[in-house]
Amino acid sequence: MREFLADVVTTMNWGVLGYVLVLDASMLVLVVVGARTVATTLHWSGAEGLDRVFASPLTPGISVLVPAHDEEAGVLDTLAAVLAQRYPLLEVVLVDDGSTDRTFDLVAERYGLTPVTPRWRADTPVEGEVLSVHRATTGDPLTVVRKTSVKRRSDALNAALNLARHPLVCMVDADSLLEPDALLKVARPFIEDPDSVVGTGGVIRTANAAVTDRGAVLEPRLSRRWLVRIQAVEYLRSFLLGRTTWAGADALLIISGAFGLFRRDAVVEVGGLDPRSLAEDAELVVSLREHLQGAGRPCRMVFVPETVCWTEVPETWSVLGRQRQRWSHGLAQLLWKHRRMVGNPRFGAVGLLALPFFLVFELLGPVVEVVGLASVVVAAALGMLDPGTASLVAGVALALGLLVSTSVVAVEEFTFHRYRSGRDLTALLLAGALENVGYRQVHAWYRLRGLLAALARREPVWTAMPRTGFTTADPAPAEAWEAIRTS
Amino acid sequence: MSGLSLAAVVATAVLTGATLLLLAAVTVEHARRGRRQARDAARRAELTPLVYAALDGDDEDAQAGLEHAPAVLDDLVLDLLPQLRGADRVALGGVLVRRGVVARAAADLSARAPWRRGRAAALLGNAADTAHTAALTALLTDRSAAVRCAAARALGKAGDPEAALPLLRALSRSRRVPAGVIGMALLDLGTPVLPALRAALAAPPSAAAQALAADLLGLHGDLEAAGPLLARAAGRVQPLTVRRSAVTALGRLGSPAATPVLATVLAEPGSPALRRAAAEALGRIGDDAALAVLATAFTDSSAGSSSGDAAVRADCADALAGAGEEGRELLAASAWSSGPLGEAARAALSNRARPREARARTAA
Amino acid sequence: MTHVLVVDDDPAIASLVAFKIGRMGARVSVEADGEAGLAAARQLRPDLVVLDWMMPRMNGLEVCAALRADADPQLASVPVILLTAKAQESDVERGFVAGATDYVVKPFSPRELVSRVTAALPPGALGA
Repeated sequence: MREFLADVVTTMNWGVLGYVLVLDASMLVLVVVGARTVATTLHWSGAEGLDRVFASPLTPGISVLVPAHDEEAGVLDTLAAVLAQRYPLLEVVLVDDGSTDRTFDLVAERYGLTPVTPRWRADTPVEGEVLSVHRATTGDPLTVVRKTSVKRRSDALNAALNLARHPLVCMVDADSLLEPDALLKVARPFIEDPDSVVGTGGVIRTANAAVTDRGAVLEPRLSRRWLVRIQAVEYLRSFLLGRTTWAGADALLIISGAFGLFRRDAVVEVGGLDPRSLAEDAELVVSLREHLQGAGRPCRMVFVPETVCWTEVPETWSVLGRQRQRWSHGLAQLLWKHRRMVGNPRFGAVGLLALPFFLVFELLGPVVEVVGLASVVVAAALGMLDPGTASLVAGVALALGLLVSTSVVAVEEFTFHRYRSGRDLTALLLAGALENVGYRQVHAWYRLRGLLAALARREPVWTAMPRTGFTTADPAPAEAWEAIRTS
Repeated sequence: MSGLSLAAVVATAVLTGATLLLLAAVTVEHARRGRRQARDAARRAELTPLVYAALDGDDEDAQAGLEHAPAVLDDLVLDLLPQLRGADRVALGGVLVRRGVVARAAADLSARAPWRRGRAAALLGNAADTAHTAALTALLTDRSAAVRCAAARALGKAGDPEAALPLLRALSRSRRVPAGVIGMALLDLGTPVLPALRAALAAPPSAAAQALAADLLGLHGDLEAAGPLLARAAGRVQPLTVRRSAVTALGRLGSPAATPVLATVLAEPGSPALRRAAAEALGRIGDDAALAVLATAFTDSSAGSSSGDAAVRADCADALAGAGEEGRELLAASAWSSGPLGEAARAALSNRARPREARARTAA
Repeated sequence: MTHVLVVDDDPAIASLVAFKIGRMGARVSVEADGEAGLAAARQLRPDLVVLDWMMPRMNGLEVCAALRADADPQLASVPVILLTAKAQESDVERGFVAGATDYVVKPFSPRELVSRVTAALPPGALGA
């Protein structure tokens, strides 16, 4: 009996080690390939013709959709930043999603809102009741929809989608801080490949502790909190490098909910955002792919490896835990809903590479990691662990993890170098190291809980979703799964 | 087990070594960047007055000084160039020619890396260089789509009207350049390309070229093209995209002579998109006849009830609301009725109200 | 001496415009954002303002509207030339509604801008 147990534990130990090594190695590949793409993009910088896109009367208009629930702290800044975007033709549709604070009053006062009879341009189902529609009288192209909340960002966005009049729709979170050229950068692929581009996104970075003014980041700075610093590295790896690489293989699965641009007709065609999804941003991308590619129509999702948007990330473990649990739950829903795409050659690199990768490393990753850790503990308790071998093996895994996070920071320093102070750079490098010990393991636990929640009840319970009152730190409605590793 | 241990030790050592190497590289890069930026800023500050002096072209000493200035000067000039027009742009372009920057870019047009070709093209465009039109034109069929777009933009900015025809042809090649990019390039070339656009409307290299030519002639407000545009708008055998562009262009020209044709298009069964374009064009023309057509189409009870028909009707309402006091009066007659008609009228009216009126209404 | 205020967040453009207008014999002050520009205008009471539209802190349109609404009659009537990359028809309209005296689109001709500045000032204000 004891021998059998020993065999099981040993096998598990080795299995987990192999898994971690394969995962880290594939991340290293993603980082290296991503770094090359970023370098190419930087070579083009200044010659991409953004000024021509801006000057052109032929540039397609963009409707920026902003869902806001109790956002009195930041809504005016966000609107100012969106309305100040360097883009030739845009409108903003703000949805006051059942706010109980002064969100609407502030906007009404600043923009002289007046009630209007709405002109609906699509009839995507909306569950909340639309109470009224207003328009700015200050000359700003702003429409505001007031509706009752069903505590779902997707419902607010669908209401806004029905009012949008331009051919492109940009979904933005009310607490996103946009770069001034964000729309131009993500709109360019639509102009240069109008027949096949359906969605575009860009790099999203952590905003905590940055110096901001009226919704624009004046100077990014690194937070003093290690939890935030670690997430800063995580975001860099996942956006700058992971998504860049996936998009290069035309297998991009996620365009962040914090900032993404889509063809309106395509979004309307798939019925807007899935109201039941906990990861409605990734859900939308996969749905568009399933719908269009399934019908043999072109469907390119482009990732622009340049910073477009800054978002605040959780500053405490408990908020982070809820966020990551939700993301993992959402991923499980998504993979279940689109299970026929997994491994399906009809969907190209998405079906053969990206979805299986997400299934094995993102969704099931935490199972392997948590079980593996437990087996090591058991082995140690049973005295079956040779301390010498164990530490050597752990050393390899740790060294590989360190190399990955250091290369991420190195790429940042050699390309964008947005953090100017040496202190921030050092902190970033240290945070990358810390991610491997402690953070990664706790993160696996959160994700495992999300997966279990998804398995326990396929219908998500929404009452767990509202914002927790963290006005500065909780991106609960931000609901991108930003930092899902390497995505 | 010892073999495994050895392998683990070696792997750890290699990985750690690589990490340390990266760390060293990051440290060095960070320090070097700081110094480099400080140095460049100082040099720029030094050179800026020289560049300004050279702009007016009357300062011989400044001209001579510029030819031997450090490379940072090129960046300075290249930053400024895209923002400028006219004589000063030509003067700065001359500086780049004399410093050999233009010649180097011309050589780079055949570089291996796509970004080098693209950057070189962009530079030639910014420098208003018309000596390399042929080379840039050749890049319109480059294997890299990004380079093709860069070449089209550069041809537009360089300003040689001879580029118009190759640009229009690039719309329909197998390695093509999209209409959004070609369109802006042709707009950058300005009125000298109007004859080429009129020719493309009459005897088009492709339907895409014809539609784009119609769009651009409309944006230019080229009254000489009114006749051919009318023919394209009316002709039912024309491709739909061409008809729609012609209809929109007629609206931009604003000539009431187009009203009868646009009225026919609006009443045609078929593409809602085309009919919506006709409604908008009639609103832009805004003469009495056009408004009457719109009002009739809006209230026409025989119209279908599909979503396309509803959209056409709503666009008629928008066009009326946007066509001044008279249009709004016509619309106001329907605004009090219940049902979809009244709602469309109210939506159009409330969305078009000018700020002052809107405030008055809120107060009332 | 005629005093011109240039407000543009692109230092290259601001300094070029300042240089060109300075050569016409005017005193030129430069500010890099809308808020600082408005403050400078209130303090310096310039004879003319060249104003970018898209700037941090406060955009040119807001600055222009604030100037027009100023209690000081000289400031309320100061000629304002918008110098901006916003080139759409509706942008130009909005610029004039906000109270701009003139509207120049980037890419611009510095010589033409100088002529427009001269024309917006009282005759003989710029010696040239």
